Amino acid sequence: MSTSTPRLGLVKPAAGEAYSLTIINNNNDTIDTYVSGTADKLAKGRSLKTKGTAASGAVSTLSVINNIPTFTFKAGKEYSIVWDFNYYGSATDGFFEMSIATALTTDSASLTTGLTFLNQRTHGVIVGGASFPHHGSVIADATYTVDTTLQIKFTAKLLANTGTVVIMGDASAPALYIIDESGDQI
Amino acid sequence: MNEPIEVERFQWVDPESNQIYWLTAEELAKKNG
Repeated sequence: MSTSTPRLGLVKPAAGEAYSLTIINNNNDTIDTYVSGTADKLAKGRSLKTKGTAASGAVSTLSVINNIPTFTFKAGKEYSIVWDFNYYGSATDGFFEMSIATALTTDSASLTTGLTFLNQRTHGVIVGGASFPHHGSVIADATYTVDTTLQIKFTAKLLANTGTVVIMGDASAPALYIIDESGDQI
Repeated sequence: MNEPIEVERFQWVDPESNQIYWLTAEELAKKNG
């Protein structure tokens, strides 16, 4: 007598039934129904999303704007890390660099040494002041061959010229910090 | 939208969660007791 698998409900033929055309078709139909009805709606991979709902201080030297204290990257998976934000600068010639970096989970959140930068993006200030926000983002990717637990830090610093920068955020327009698992690395 | 209000904020790290927060002077004073 054939039996069903406990998780997916796939029909397993009994001994001697392995070549039954009926049972093979039952398997295919069950898989098809499961994929279209259930598997396609499952969450894909691991994900972490957090928001910055308060503006940062005004910074010019390398500073950690926000952090994710700990996240485990699973072996062989591809991860996208997105930092999306509004910002404003104090000087119209301000030229800043925003970065996504990893650090040890044992490091203090504000520590600006021991960083491994994943990706960096420069952002300029065209018009200064809080009433003239600019939009920016940094996207990084990360893949590790073994399970790796790290702290993620989002940093900003003045790269050239003058001024300070504030990363904006409030309840209705937060800065977004997102880690998404995209799937197996190929 | 982000409100165009400039409030000076100071970095504070929660010693328990190791999470960064940007607090106003008043909020920071409360944290530091």
